Amino acid sequence: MLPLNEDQIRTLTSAIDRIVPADDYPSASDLGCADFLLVLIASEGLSETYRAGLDGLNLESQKLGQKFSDLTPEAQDSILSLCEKRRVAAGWAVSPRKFFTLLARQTVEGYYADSGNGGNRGEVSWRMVGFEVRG
Amino acid sequence: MKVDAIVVGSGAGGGIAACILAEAGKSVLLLERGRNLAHSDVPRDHLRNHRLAQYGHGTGPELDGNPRLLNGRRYRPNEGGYNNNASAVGGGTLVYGMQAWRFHPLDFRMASTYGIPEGSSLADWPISYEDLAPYYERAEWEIGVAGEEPAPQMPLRKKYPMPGVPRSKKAKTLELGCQKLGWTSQVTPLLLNSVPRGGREACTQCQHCVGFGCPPDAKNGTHNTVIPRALATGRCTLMAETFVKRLIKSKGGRVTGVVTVDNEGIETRHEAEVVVLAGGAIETARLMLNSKVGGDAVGRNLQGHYYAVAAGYMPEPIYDGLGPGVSISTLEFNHGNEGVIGGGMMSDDFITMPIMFAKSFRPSSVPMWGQAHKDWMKKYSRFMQVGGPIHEIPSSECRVGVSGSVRDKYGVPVASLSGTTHPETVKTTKFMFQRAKQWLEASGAEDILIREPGLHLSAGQHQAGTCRMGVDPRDSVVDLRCRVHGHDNLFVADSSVHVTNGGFNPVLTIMALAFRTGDGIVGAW
Ligand SMILES: Cc1cc2nc3c(=O)[nH]c(=O)nc-3n(C[C@H](O)[C@H](O)[C@H](O)COP(=O)(O)OP(=O)(O)OC[C@H]3O[C@@H](n4cnc5c(N)ncnc54)[C@H](O)[C@@H]3O)c2cc1C
Repeated sequence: MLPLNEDQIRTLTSAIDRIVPADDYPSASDLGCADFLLVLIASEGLSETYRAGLDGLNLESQKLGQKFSDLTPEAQDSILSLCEKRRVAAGWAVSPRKFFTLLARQTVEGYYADSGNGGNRGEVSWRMVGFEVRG
Repeated sequence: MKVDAIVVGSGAGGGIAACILAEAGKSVLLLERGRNLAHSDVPRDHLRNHRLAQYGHGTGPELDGNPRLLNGRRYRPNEGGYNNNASAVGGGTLVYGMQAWRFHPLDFRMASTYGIPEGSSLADWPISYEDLAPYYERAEWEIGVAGEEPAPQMPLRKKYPMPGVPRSKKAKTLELGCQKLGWTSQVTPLLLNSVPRGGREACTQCQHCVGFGCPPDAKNGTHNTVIPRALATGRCTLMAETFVKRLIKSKGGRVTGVVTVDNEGIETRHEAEVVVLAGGAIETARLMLNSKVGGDAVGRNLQGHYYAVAAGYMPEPIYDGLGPGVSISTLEFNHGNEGVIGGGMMSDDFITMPIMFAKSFRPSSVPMWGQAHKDWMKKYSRFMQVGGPIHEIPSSECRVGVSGSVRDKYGVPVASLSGTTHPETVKTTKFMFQRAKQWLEASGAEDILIREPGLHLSAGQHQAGTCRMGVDPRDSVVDLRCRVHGHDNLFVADSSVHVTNGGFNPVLTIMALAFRTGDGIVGAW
């Protein structure tokens, strides 16, 4: 069973694509980071934290009348920034900053770790930074 | 069945002690709590290894059921506060970085050289560099070191059995930096097959050295050198996944054997003429304390290494993708530093994995997410770091105890660590941070990042000192032969016996001492 519902997965995907956005190189979800996180959330027992945090992001976006995943990237960024700076209003079941820090840290882990972990398909991020494994 | 000798722990020291005893004709039981892993069993997982262990580390100790306490707080083996080293056949040598340093002659004479700072337990070793030199040579030849000439700060020695690893692009740049500063340098000696040796292949430069296994099996540890030699005698039995709970004592204080427990929880008594402890500095002290063996000095003087590391960026890409990645060192600052005690060796580092770069070297000016973070990651190929271990000034109040309440999955009281290093260690570390920065600057690096060191307990992968060697049983645990005071037939053959821990990575000294202790046991038998 997946640790998150469909709505939460959609929010997760949008959020991690702001953590590592696409440029000449793919975004976090393009390289498999959502799948990486789903595995990690289950194995590390983080379902509750992630569910609460992702629902929290939607709570914030409702104030703008939209789901988090439907917002513009700029609007998504500003909500994430508010979390980072502890400026969101009450109503979250988890500390917004704690959740944001966890999300950012683990997305980066998936994107830059080995492809065996699932978040760096084809070792694309390694090619981007110039890390090359021979043998 | 009674054997001649039991060796507890199959790491750097234990593997060597077992080999010497078995080759001298003794029957040996080598007991190891960890698994017997081939290099290929240790996963090449960038999120689970001995440099980045937050989710696990690919060897033992298993994350559940083996806690330790640090200042009363509970830690799992993959958390920093645990102060872990790898548990497996080969111990730390299965996954180590292989740096193969002799301590400097003055590292054995710290108190005479610098005096004893108030509140510290700084002391001279009761043996000298010269006493250990022949055994260093054995370690270099029998385990297998690749390297070149020693730095001018060190005594002359026999050459190594293998040529040094080639200098990387980073090392060539750092060599120019040294020349600019008038500093001497040398190729970093490594316990690595730079050419095929001992029936095993040469290094393929795959970069996954420190914290990982070694797919071509070119990394030389005890698991692929002396332990196979011991087994080849037919007189040594290796029992992996077998934890030694306590020592058995007879009335007169003689240690007559050990009690083990296996994965199924089955307890067994083993008897022996001689028992050699080599579980690493924390676990050896724990075992002695739990067995009520040894005096008040057991567990004191716990030490490791502070590290002074500077990191920066070159104007052009400098990463060349060739492991191990460490190939230049300077011994310019091990001693003779104005106003501080001791110092340390500095080197370039093993290849920094991209995720380690992201986690350990992000300056505060770079956000932890977004396009700016991604742009910073693209500076990876221009990244360079230098640094090294600092000679710590020990404190007798920095120690291993055993918990009165917390037990491991076998019901044995866990190690409880407390205290800090001496403040002089912090002072020397600050001095060395400036030297590391200076080296990078002279080599052309920019935006150099260093950290402000604080006062804390230091043990970890370089843990040492908890069964200090000395003549007086009041402030030492073992005598000059590494025999426990008051126990004729009980020896210690791991990092526990170090009086001080040098300004270098410690393993070659642990190995040399184990050769010497093994010889001593055989000689007196
Ligand atoms: C990632 C990493 C990199 C390193 N790089 C370097 C380097 O470049 N150069 C260097 O000099 N050093 C390095 N070290 C440190 C080096 O590996 C250690 O200093 C060395 O292994 C310590 O030797 P030891 O014999 O004291 O103990 P260990 O090698 O730790 O061996 C102790 C063994 O005893 C076993 N044991 C403990 N208690 C029990 C018990 N009760 N019953 C049964 N078995 C038990 C343990 O499982 C372990 O296998 C590194 C270590 C690590 C982890």
